[in-house]
Amino acid sequence: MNKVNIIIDKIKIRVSEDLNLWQAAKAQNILIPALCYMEEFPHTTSCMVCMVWDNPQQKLIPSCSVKVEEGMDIETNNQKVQDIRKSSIELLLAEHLGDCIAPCQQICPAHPHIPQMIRNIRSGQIEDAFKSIKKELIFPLVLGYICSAPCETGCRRNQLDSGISICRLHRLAALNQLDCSQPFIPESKTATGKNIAVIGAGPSGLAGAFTLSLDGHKVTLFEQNTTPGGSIISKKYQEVLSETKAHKEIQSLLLPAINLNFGTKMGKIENIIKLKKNYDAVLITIGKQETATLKEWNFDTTKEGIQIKSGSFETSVSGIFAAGSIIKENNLIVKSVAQGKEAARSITEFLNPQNSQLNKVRFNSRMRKIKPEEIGEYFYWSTNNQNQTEKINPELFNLDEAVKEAYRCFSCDCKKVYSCKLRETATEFSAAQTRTLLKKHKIFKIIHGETDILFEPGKCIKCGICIKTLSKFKMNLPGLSFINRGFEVILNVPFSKTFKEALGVHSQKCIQNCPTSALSNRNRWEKMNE
Amino acid sequence: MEKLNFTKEVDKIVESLGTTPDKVIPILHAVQKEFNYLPEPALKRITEITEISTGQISGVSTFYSQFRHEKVGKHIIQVCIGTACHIKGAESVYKSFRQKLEIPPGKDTDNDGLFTLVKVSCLGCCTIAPVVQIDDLTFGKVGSEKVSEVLEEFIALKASKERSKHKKTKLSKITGEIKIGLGSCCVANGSGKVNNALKSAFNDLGIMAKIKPVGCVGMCHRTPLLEISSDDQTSILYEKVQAGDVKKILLNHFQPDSFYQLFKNKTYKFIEQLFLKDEPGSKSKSPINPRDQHINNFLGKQVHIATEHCGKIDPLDFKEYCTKGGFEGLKTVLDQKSPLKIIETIDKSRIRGRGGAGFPTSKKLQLAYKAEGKEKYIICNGDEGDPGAFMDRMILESYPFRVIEGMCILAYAIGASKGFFYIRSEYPLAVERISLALEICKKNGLLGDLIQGSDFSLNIKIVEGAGAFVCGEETALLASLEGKRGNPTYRPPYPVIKGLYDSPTLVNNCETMATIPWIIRNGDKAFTLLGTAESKGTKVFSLAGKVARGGLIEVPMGITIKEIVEDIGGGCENDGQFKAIQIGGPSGGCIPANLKNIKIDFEELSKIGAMMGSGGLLVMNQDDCMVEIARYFLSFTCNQSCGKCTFCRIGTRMMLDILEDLCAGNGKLSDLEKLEDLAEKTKIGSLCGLGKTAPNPVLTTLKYFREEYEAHIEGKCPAKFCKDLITYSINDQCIGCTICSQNCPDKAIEFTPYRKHKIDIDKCTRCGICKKVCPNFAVEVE
Repeated sequence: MNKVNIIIDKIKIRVSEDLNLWQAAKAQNILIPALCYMEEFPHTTSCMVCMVWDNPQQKLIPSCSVKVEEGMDIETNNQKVQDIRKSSIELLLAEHLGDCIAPCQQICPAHPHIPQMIRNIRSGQIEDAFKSIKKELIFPLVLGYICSAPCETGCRRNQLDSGISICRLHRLAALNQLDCSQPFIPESKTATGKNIAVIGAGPSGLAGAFTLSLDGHKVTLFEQNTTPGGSIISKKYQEVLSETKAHKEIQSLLLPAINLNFGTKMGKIENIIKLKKNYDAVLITIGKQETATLKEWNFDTTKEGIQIKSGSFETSVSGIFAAGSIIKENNLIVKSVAQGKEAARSITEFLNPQNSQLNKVRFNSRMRKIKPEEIGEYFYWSTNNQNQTEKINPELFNLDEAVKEAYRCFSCDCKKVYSCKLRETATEFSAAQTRTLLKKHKIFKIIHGETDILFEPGKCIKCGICIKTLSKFKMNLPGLSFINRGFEVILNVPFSKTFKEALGVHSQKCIQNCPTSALSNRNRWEKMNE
Repeated sequence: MEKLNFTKEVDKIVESLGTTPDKVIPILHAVQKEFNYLPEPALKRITEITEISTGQISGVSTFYSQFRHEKVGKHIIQVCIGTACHIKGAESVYKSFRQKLEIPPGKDTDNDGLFTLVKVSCLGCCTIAPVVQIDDLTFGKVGSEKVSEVLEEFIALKASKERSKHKKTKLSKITGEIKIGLGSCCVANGSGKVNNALKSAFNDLGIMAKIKPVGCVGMCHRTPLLEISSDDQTSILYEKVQAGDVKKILLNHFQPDSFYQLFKNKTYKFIEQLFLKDEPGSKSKSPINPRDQHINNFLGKQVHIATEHCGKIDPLDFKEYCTKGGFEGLKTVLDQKSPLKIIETIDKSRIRGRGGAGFPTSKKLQLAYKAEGKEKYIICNGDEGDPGAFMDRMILESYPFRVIEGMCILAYAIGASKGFFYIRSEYPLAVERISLALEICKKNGLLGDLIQGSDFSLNIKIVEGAGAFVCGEETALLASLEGKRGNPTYRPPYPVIKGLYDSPTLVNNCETMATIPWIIRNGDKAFTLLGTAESKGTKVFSLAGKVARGGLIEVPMGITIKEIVEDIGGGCENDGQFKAIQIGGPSGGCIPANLKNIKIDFEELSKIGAMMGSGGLLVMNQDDCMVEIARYFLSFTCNQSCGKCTFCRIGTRMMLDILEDLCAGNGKLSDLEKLEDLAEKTKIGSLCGLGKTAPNPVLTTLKYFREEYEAHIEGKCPAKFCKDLITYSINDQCIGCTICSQNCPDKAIEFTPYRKHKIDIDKCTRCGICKKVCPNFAVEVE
């Protein structure tokens, strides 16, 4: 085996002449993003994401397709490389027809995994349903009663008849837990030894304290009143939400590891500064304050309240964070909850900056508005039943009815939301999605031929990996192939055969190899890996 | 029952063509010819009895645009939408056909199943645009107002063809020679009819003369051309001859044998003169002096190498080719027995590939010579897909022996023993002539095994394309030859190292091939005397568009645009104003008239953002919209993209969307920035030449005609071309003749005899027919 000398990112290396540039880089622990290339198959040169800069030739070349040659000098990550990669990803996104996460989950400020919860309910696993959302929604019961439910407004099903009754569903899941002997609490991380003060036990403060505690920090929760809850237990909601139920859920959040310090008036600047000295970080969630007061406390302000840094909830005073109406008055309880949670995660990141990518906002592909003739595509999974829940007494909404309602859900979230290579690279390069192509040319379709293997042409990036996977096994009898040309290219199984027949016994391998979720199983969605 | 029929026919086809995967395209062509489309049972049957898989057959049959999966009408009307036709109103022609045939929306076939209407990317008859082909008959200069006429003519011709099937002409003694151009263009412009008229006139008049078909004459703007050499060796050239003129011309030159005929002919002449006298419109055909000023200008600056003996030589007359130096080059190299010497000569001649990119031919040869492989291949690339270009077609049709000779020489140089012609199937005449020429060469021992007693063997086959521009790219061409979808692959490895079936393969454009014998015969020095420092020799261009004298021209490299357009082309037709040229088709660019002093060679053109391309050269005048022309080319490349790589597949589509918006008056200023960015990225990021050069028409128009883009954003089309930005109206010049009303396909003009007519803007689709037919110039565009 002959070896050649090449330079990758200014480092001289000696590699086997059989390698391509992508492999040579990998040997240097440089993982070049590539969507259409897998080492086990010959290259296609389709996605153009793996471009690298060829120094002597002064041009961009696809690393998967170029064999190493003596004297090559390659840069894998200069500005030109990044620009072209971002462009190619943005072009792929421009024809990517699908939601990464469902609009309900996207719209809800707390982003709970609603579709997963609904699928749990659908299969009768009511406890799992609760587990699916507790960590993010934090107040599934309280919000199940008092939330104005932006999720339901955003539901795709509204375009057909009416949105799914999401609030009632998570309420039911939470009610089921309420009387449980051992209610579910998400797992806490190992103790960090950091001390954090949370001031104010309203929705933001409770959510913040709960999240910080789960993250392994030592939390002290201060509240001027003797009972926690803030606006949750205000008169405004008493008619719909009984105090006992509210208290039960609030109690479930006050984890044993949280220090409670109720009935302490904390309004003075001196106290806060004093607290800051004793704690590694402080989270203020004391509701709306006069800007004059905030200024007096030395905080920068906006017109509406305390000023926070964009991307985190840190105030102008380092180490002091804020969430809820102190930033800007809001009447949406779930927003306050979400902010408390987000601020808590910002604090964790602040205390441990090495882990910062944990909180990086993932790219989200968004489906354009569904055209009336396309809506039927979702019926591979959901039923065409009308919403019945309005007619049912909320307290009597039973499991059977809930399951029926869950069957209405389109489950429009992506099946490969965590391992999709397109989403991963889009996130890495902060790519944006333009929507003109999707509106003008793309038709939403889910092809399944009444089998449990689905193909979504709108998500296919035309890499041909599935075809190569099959031909590796010399199993291409029904003839999976690309048809048409140019922008109209589409993966197809000829002579009215199904994808299930075409993929045969290797369907799972093909689905796994597919860089997006263009190929998928009818009833398998990736679960959160945390 | 039907299935049985399919089986029988398909089996027969497969039996004659073979069962290997590379036979898929020929088989599909044959099946389609048999059934007029590709019925699914037939496709299934193919996969049952061949090595062709279902995936391959569905992938391939949908990739190439000539294959149809649905039944079509009895006759197929192909409306050429090549660039030259486009700027002369092909869209309106297409629409007129739709309306005339009452084809229902969303369909291509009329309700009676008689005619199917399709668009074809280019028929390569650009000088007589707009062109329409109905079945195997081509019609030139088909304006949208002439659609009915063409249909009637087609039906009449069909009927007369049926009748004349058994009629034969007998000639006993040859008293002279009549040369008639029978290139595709000439035929489309009526030379076929003239040819038929000649034959029947011989019968009627009792004249005996030899009709000699010659290839492309080059002077397409004056076709059909007849050149008559009488016994006394004088030659007289007649231009724009119509079938009706034939008898009279013949009588000027030839005397029939019998006295009776003589008498009859005199009477004929006399009577005809009587009839013609009172008709002011009838011009009698007078001969033109071959050395008249126009022709002098047209031919004066040309140098014929690839098109040597143009208009003089019978394409398929082997002896004539030989007497004019043909196959001397091949014999020389076979005698010398030194492949390296050939390569050296070609290297010294510094010829660069004529296919577009201008890669030095000798470099390819050296690599192919050195490359190791059990088998080596040589391929002549005749897949000329550029809309607006017809050089390859003309060369293949007119000089088949020359191309074959060039191919033999190169094959000998690299040690190839198998060769292929890859020719567009839109060029049936080229395919026919090459296959006849190959037969003749074989018979004469210039092809086959152990040629001329040497140890050199070469067998050449013809493979027809199936309607995919991208197959002109060499790696896509090879994929297509192997029976795959025409997807290009990344180079390196270059085909000269690893090409067809992974063997070393030399792919050259047919113009390059046609130039090689000349270089061998005349020496490299003679070739380097022509051209510029970096671009030697000549280049063949197809000059078309809004030019007075269009045609196929061969000029030395380094000639200026001005010389081509103004001297050779005679400037714009109809006193138009020369605005720009488009060179290199969809890979090239638009060069404004103010750069007309630029010398044409590979470097100069790429310096200003254009490209030599294969040699399409289109002249545009003040009526041509530059934004629209960019949109046109993008719609072409977008449609022809193979769809494999991201930038070409999606980038071209996005650029096209923006350009469509601009042309429709929905553009925004920010669109220009987006367009530029997309164009730059597509140029860098695409896999093959198609995508890498697709942005050129956009970038050059943006560079040289930005103000036109800006005008479109403001809702104006300065050339008054973009239909959404103009309105038609009738002014006071109207005399109420009703012609416009009668011709309006949209019924937007009310029939008001003797009164001023009015256009209903809501109904008007701005096809422009009214303006064309108005005798009084009363139709205005704003």
